[in-house]
Amino acid sequence: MCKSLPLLSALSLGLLFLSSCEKEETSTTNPSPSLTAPTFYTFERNNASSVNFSGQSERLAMGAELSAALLDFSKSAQDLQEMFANTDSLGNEVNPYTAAALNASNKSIRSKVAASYELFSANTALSARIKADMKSFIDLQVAEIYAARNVAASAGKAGQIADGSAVRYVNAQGFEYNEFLIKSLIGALCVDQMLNNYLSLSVLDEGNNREDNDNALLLEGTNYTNMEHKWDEAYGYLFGLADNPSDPLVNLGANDVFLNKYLARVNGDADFSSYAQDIFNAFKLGRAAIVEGEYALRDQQIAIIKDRVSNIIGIRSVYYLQAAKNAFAANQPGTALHDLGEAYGFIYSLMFTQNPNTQAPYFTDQEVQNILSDLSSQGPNGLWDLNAATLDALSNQIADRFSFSLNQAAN
Amino acid sequence: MMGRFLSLFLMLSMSFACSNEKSGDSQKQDDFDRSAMLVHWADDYILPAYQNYNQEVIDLNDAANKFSNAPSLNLHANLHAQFVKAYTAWQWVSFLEIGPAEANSLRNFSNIYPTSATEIEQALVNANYNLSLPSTFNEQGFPAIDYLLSGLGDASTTVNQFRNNTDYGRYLSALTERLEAMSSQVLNIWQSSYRNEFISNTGSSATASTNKLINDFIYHFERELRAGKVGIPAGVFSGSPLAQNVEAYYSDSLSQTLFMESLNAHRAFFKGSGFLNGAAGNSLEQYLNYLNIENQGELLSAKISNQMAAAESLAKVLPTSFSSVAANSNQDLLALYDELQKAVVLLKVDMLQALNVRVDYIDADGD
Repeated sequence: MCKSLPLLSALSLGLLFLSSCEKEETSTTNPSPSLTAPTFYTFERNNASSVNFSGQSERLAMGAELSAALLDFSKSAQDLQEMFANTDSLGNEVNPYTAAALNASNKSIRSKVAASYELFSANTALSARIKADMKSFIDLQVAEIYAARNVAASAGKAGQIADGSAVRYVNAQGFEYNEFLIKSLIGALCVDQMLNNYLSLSVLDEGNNREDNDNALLLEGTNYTNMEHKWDEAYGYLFGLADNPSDPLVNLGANDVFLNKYLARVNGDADFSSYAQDIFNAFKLGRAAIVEGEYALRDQQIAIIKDRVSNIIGIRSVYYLQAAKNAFAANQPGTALHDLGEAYGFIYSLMFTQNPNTQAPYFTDQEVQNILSDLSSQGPNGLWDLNAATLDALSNQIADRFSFSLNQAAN
Repeated sequence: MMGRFLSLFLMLSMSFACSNEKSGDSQKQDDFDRSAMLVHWADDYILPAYQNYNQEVIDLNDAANKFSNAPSLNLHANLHAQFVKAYTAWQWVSFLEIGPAEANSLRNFSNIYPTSATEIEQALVNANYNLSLPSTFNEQGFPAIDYLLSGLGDASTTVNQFRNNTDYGRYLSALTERLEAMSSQVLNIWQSSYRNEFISNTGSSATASTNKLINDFIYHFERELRAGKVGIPAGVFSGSPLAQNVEAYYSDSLSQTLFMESLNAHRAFFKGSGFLNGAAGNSLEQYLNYLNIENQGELLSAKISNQMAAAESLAKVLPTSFSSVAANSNQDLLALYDELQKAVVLLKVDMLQALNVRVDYIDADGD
């Protein structure tokens, strides 16, 4: 046993090398060999930067404040809803944030939830339902959790519960609504906007975008073409809060509780340790290709980004389901419930992924609703009633749709 | 194409390296008597260590009640001396987070630091605290008692504060009473039922007693000894030193003592020294020697012992206050951290591989 283990891992490592070599050969063939990804995400025109994603950075910063406020028991549901929408319920301007710059901004998280061109421009009913889901997570956080914050939680009883030395706040079914909301927004805001909107050909190539880009026709009052800007906006949803957004892999995951953080987590797993560099390279090379009008090369980079970003959501869904299974087995229910809170949001996010081969989400809304129902309705006490067999079945159901294995995601 | 040749070569060379790395033919088949080791752990280390700790917290509670009832400089000095004895005894049981201790989150309720002076002050005024809630981890246990005894000012200031406002005495007694109640409960369960459960769970699965306690031991070495007592105040994880995050911050000159006690507890457990008389029994050290595990031509057990001794020799010449070390000569704390980290690798990678035990904890998510 002792001896077979290292050999086995060496073998699997070797296999990994083999398969990753193959991937690179097929996926990064460069039709324009002179064009390579620059070292940094830095693009200039007329001696000034042509990159701009300030709107994305602002929404991520608003999300960070909202995330913290969800556990600030002095807040009201209305306070939190205003942080989500950056308006009051009548649409009037409000100043709900700590940072003055965010109060001065007219951007809003809510307006970009389930708002991509590809998935929602002709499905406003679904968009409205998803927005309502997010709103209800906030309302329930206040209604069910705040009231019970000073009692101990148990199966069927809302309250606080230990997760190691951390404290988690759950409702009677073990739902951690703040996790539900923030992790669902990773899909409903970041992934949806990135993959189904800004990296959609319908958006990048909309109207005269290609012709304008070829002629370097800049958007009025700016230093970029419309296509360049769309690409940057996709980039901003992943790297918009980096210390240095042109060199964002330094301190990856440090400043951002949304997609960026989980790229760092996935990249920290030896099975996926090329993810951060793959995505960053694809963004840089795609942006350079746009500048040169090399649209086939651009589209290859889009496929890489769609694959890796979608896989992050799938990997973390499975990872947290398995972590919950292990925590239940170790008799650590607080840890298990927290893992399930994360899992719930990542699974919710699956409907915003996009398979580059089929151009469709890896899971439909209906499939996601079915999994979430299986997850939360095993018994009267919700997540408390889950067993290992159900968690394994759901993990396999998700992993089977992707190219990673359950074991690769689980550790 | 080149890529494939390269990876094939890597595969071959890695499997070659792997077979070299082991001690080869000299390693015996593993029929070490785990059962005898569990009995030795339970009867010669765990139970006497808990009995000792329990007596110290009983005495701590007595001393706290006497001081709270009639605050004086003399009683304050007695109480603080007993606080040091109890905190020292704690170091020997802190890593035993298994069975009743694990089920009751004993460590989190006893020794989460830094404590929160703000929350303590709020709690003692409101007098409606519920110390069984996880949100009160940083309002109780030894770090909170440390604040009440040494964080309000010098001894006479503290005595005056307790005289002028009985909320302080009431809260202090609630804290020591809770420490005593938790300790008694854990000891009682060990004595009445858990000892037998522990020694009869002899297998080698992830939930077997040997596998779990070895993991608890290494987790504690890595997270509590290396990170909590040294790495975090030295700023290893934050970039700059956090002097206020040392253990027993308010007593100031206690942090080195507590570190040394904890290191000695880890060494004793590894070597199988009994808690009371130091008599060696079946231990991790003997287990490794039984399997004849070598590492770079040297017995792995000897490398581990030497590495712990290297950490000790650095730590024992440090000033008694780690917060002043962090503030004034932090490179010494960083050097100590590095020696501890070398021991972590030997324990967590080499020893666990040799004993065929899987790590059962992963890096916390931190969110």
